[in-house]
Amino acid sequence: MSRSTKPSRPEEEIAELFARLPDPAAREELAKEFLPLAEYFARRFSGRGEPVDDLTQTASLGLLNAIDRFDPKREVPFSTYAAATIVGELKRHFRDRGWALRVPRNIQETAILVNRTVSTMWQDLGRAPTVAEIAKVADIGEDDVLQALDALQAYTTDSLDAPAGDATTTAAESIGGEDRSFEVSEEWLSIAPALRDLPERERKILYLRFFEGRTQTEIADELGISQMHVSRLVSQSLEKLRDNAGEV
Amino acid sequence: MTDLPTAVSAEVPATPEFVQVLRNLAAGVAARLDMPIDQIEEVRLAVTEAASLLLDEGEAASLRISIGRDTDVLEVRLSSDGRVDPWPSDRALSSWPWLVVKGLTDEITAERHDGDGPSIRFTKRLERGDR
Repeated sequence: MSRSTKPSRPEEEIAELFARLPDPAAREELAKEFLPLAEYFARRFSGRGEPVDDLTQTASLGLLNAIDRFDPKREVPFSTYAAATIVGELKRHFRDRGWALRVPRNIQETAILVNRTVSTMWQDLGRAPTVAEIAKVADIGEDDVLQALDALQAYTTDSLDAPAGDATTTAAESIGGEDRSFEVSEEWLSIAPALRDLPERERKILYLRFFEGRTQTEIADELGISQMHVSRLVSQSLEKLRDNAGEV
Repeated sequence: MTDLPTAVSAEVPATPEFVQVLRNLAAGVAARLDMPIDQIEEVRLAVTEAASLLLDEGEAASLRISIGRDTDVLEVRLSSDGRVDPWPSDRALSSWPWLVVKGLTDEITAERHDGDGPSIRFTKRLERGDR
């Protein structure tokens, strides 16, 4: 069905109606006049799991917003302005329902976005966010988040996760004053000789985590760093150990 | 097969490159459980370490993973077609990867079913934190 999306009235009459705003009768006339435009875009966005009636309603809301905000003094024809507003409203509708109308981004861009989102959310929530939570805040798909998290693990994440000021603090300092002179036992070095090559802080974190069975939160408290930082240092140092051992 | 309803199972060549496929698979299922990402990362690390342990044992040609899930538990079973006797060996039980998987998960067991190669099974319970 190809219906015209153009208004049936001459331009002068349309302009007259705009001049009468905010008169409710004029607003209604305009809405009726441009309804085919809203219906057109509603159909264009159909077939994505949302009922077309809902989409038409959303598109109509976009149209009304466009009528209220349109400035006739501008050079842009109303239909162009309205189209942008209607499409914007439809996109928001999908986004609110967790549907992705996504602009594809490259993996690196996404990884940077996810990394930033994770840091902020971890701090705000006081715990690690879930993939769904990150996807919602970063406005990307859950699969993209997972892919980005995997990509982030592939980096040696020092530059990404080192908090500001960390570079000026030595590892020993940041481990904290009340250190009960940490010594790596021979038993534990014999299990993983590559531990010798790790920086002291990472070695200590692995020791606490896997020999003493402490939780990430406990280690974070003891070392005075964030839990996120502990989590990343654990991954990073396990990765390094595998690299050194020439394994996976 | 896992004891919990199996969500995913897969078989890959027993090479380090394919371990990445296995850990991404496990991370994907963990995400469907709505695990926070620090726990997902622990699942990923546990799969990696368990797989590297199996790669070291008995010249395996293929690795199998089977991931079961409940509302708040993930159960992962990794096995190989390698020939080892006995299993678990003392060497495996005192190895670094075993220690790491043990530390990252709630429960770990080494098993072997009749006619099968060695397998490592672990569970990870979803900790909801303050939600």
